Amino acid sequence: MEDAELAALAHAGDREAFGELVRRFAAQARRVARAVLGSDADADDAAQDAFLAALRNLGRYDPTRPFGPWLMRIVANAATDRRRRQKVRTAEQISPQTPSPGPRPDQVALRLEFHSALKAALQSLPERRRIAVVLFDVEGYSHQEIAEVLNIPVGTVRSDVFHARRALRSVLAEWKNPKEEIV
Amino acid sequence: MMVSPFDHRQDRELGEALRAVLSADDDTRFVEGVLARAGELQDDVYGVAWWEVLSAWARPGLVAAAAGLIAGITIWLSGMSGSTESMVALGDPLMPADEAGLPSALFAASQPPELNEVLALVMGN
Repeated sequence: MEDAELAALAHAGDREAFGELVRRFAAQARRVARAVLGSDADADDAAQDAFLAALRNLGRYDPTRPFGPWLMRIVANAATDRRRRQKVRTAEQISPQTPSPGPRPDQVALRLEFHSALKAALQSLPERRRIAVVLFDVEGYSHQEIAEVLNIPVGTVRSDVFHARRALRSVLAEWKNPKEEIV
Repeated sequence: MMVSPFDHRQDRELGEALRAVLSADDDTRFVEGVLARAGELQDDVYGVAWWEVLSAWARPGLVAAAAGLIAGITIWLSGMSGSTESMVALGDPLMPADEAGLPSALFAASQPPELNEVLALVMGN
């Protein structure tokens, strides 16, 4: 079933349809919120707030347009609002990961170190660039859709993606050559 | 293949690296949390407030109360004005035949009377 159909059913009170929408977009919403917020717990709270806000405002959704950008706009706003409200910036967390039986412990450590460096590079970018590059390169949204999410011109989106890529690519290149397997 | 920052296509390598960094564990638990919160907020989102329920019942409730009141007053007034007739009407079958104006011969007979006989007695009475 299409997202727009599910949204219409959810708006009419069908909780199963809303559940399906949440399942479809949960991972994406959490990633976008994580791109904005340093803390994973805060990001999940923001993503949850965004889903509930979307549920309340389903009547405003235009079913002739894609649902994803509409929802991601709410997610980005919820995360940005939460970040603004934070008085004390929380220390950056490295999510605890249980080493899988496959890679050796040193590879796991390297991967965590690489992830930490990439995350730090992402967090050092201006917020809008972070959202733009994640939506474009991770989630596959078009420049036009990202422009709608961020409410900025398409040209600005292209510029944001370009600058974000250049910064992140430098981290990727630094880690890629000597440690080919960790990415 | 290396993707230039100018490239308008998706940079898969960078995208996958960012995905690995940003993806969270246990989406299922997150979804359950969101749906639980949505359930808690169901009155705000799906349901109606208690005063809306009461107001929906108010109109039929008032109509039913008014109808009952009217019916009660009607019965009470009719009871006040026609109480004598109704008592006589109820008492007739219990009264002795003579008092009710019917010949006792009709009730004393073992067989049902003929129609002509009844008419004659009534006319004669």
